[in-house]
Amino acid sequence: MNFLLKLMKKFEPPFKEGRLKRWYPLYEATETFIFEPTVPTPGAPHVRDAMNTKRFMFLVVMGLIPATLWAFYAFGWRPLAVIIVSYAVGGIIEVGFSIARKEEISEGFLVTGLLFGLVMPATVPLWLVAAGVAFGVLFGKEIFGGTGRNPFNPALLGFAFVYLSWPVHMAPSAYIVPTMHWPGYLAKYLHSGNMMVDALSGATPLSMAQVHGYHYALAHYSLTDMFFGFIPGATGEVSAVLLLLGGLFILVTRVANWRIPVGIFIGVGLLSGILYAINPGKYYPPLFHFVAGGLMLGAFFMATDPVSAPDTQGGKWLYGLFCGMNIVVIRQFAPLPEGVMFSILLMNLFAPLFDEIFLRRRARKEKAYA
Amino acid sequence: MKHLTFNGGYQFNFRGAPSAEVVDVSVGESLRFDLDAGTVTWVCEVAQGAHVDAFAVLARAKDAPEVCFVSPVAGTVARVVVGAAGSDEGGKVASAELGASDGAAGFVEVTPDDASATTSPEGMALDGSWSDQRNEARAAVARAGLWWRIRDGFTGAVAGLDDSPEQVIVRGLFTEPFFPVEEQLAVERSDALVRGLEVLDKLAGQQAPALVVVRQGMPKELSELVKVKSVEIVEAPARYPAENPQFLDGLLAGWSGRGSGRTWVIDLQDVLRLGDLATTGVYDVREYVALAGEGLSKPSHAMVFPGSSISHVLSGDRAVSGKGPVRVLLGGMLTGKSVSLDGWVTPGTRSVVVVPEHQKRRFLGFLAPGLDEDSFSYGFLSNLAPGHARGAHAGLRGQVRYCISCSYCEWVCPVGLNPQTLWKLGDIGEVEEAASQGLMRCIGCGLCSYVCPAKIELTADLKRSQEQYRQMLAEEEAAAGAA
Ligand code: SF4
Ligand code: SF4
Repeated sequence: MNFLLKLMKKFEPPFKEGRLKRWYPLYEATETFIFEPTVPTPGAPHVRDAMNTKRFMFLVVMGLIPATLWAFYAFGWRPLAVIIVSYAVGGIIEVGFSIARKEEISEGFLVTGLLFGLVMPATVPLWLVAAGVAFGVLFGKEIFGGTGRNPFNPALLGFAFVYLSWPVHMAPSAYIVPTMHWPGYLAKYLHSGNMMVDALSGATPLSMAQVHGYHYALAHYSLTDMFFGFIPGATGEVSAVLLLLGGLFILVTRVANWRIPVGIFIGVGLLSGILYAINPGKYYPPLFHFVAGGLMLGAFFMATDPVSAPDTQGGKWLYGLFCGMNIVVIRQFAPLPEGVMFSILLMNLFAPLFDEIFLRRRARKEKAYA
Repeated sequence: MKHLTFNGGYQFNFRGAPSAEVVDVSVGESLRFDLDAGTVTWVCEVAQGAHVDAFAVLARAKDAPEVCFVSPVAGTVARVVVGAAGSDEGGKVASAELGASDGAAGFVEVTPDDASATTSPEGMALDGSWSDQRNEARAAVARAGLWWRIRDGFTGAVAGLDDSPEQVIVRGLFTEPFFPVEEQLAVERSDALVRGLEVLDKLAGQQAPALVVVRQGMPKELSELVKVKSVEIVEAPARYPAENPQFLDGLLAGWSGRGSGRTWVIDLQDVLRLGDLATTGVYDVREYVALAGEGLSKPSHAMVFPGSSISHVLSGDRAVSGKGPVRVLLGGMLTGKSVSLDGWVTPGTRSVVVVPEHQKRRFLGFLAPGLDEDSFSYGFLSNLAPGHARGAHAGLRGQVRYCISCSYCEWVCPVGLNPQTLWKLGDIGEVEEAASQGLMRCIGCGLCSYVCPAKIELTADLKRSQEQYRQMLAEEEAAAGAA
């Protein structure tokens, strides 16, 4: 691979010193992406852990790969186009800001770009993807100073923006019903023009449950369908089992903090269990909550975004618990079918507050040591 | 028997650990001693050209003249260079060649004689008469050049000659890559150990038990050996930083109400020296060190004269393996100091570690399966084989980014701090707030910097914040005094 590095180095001078100097972050990012840089440690400790942000983000992407592949099976090739547009537009903004700020391009976007694609319905217009991701990255991240300083998960903020601004494109008619017959829609490119011919559109189980009660939803899709992913929904959220798999992967690799998803599951299970015990005809059974919508995607991959979550471990517990309960509250009592994304966004807002509780506690404890 | 337990910490497993073999390194052409050893500033006692015997006083501590630094060999004082910090001491300065060495305070260089005589000079004897005279024993040990090896657990500075410590911690376990295995010495030289602990008991005073910290499971023989009253064996997990003096002080003396003069810390091999001193009037001046790291072809233990040049220590069989540039460290990989090959082994050095510099730019490195990577995360295949030693190099292994709040640093911090919060507060200048979150309890172990995927220099930055806070307190105090 040495020749490739030499080839790359041929392009370096104009970026480094010449007329393309402003674009140096782009060159640097590309080079260090392809060839790992050799930066010596500036002092003690003289050796460092092999983990770095590139690998970190890449592991999150790995965790999302099963669910992404399922999206292609269930909804055809269209989700790929969505993901590409999401990466491209978000990437351009990220690079633009890095150059303006004269900072390195950070890797966080590797995750944001994919996540945003995965929360869109398969048939969403591509311009809308561009608008959503642009909004999310700009207002969720860049205006706060880039990756690491963002109070909101950019992918979620983009989603909320699109959802509230163009509800028609997120309506039941935008969602494709996956077929049970092999090879799914693997070979198809389904968009709003041809989907009525080649496939069926349909409300997500949660929308059905909201309008007609959960029995109606269960009459259309069994819990097993939901568990495996044969339900309409956002491209990346439908297969609970694959998300569980990927989610466990990022927990085991320590890329995500287990306290958050566990907290969310406890929160959802607890509150939905209580409600179901009170009125099983009206309130969804807990299992339904777990597999019907975006809970798995949200709990494992959105809420665990470490930057927008609390820093303290106790804060993470509270964050998860409240987030889980809030999801149930929105699903059952708000005029929205799904509450995962909004709950997490809301909790992002409260993250500093949760932290504050535990910072105060620590300050009291430390006083005793002083 | 006590058990030491703590959360966090980290077990390292790198290739290049020293073998059990102990190599005798000859004395070399000359020995050089910096007059500023970081914790002690020495004032030179000898003039250039003078002849010194073994154990003759070369220098005295600036703050406590009774505390001596002695010549490990008989020889001729080849050079005395006094730098900025020591120049006001006048008189004894033989040459005023400024800034010639690393230490700003200058250095003394001794050329050893062919034969090293080892008779005990006057004032060093520790026989009988010391038995109930704490201060006489202290004076003898100070004269013998061993006192400076006793440290205050709280400040890390040399113990005060009039301290009344409440306990003495004997470090027999070292977990940082790479340090010598000292328990082995203790088993082999049990007589000296017992004698040394008696001396220590006398030095510290009656009420201060000696806590000997050793590896879990190791001390079967030791507990047999150590029958001295007021000695207690403490079993510690072999997890870094179990040997950190401030850490041990905090764990064994309690984090609350710590203060200088309360806890002494001494290494096990120095206790053996005390024992020898009491028995024979002299001791083995050579440091028992680890010569280790992947940069060496034959890592081993060694007996090394303090002040030896690194190039002499790492010559012949012990040479750097020569597979590319390396970094030579005095001390371990986490807290050691990087020195050049023409540096000197400072007295008290426990290891010379040679680490390869980062050389290879791997193609799409972040995709690599990671068969030879050490990581706190479980993001590499090598995590599946925890017993397998990994390679280490002196590279950052990534690029510096803003904190991504992964919490790894909090996970490993042995003291139980939240380094990311402390760092973020320090980053925006809120050191007072950071102090309320425990900033001053940071022991500088380096683990947070080690694990950080964003490659933030947490340890160094926290140290700076600590200094800022100390300065702030001092200023406040001065202002209060003036008012
Ligand atoms: S904060 Fe201090 S004590 Fe904690 S890991 Fe970092 S250097 Fe070690
Ligand atoms: S290890 Fe580094 S990136 Fe992770 S929380 Fe600590 S400071 Fe932030």
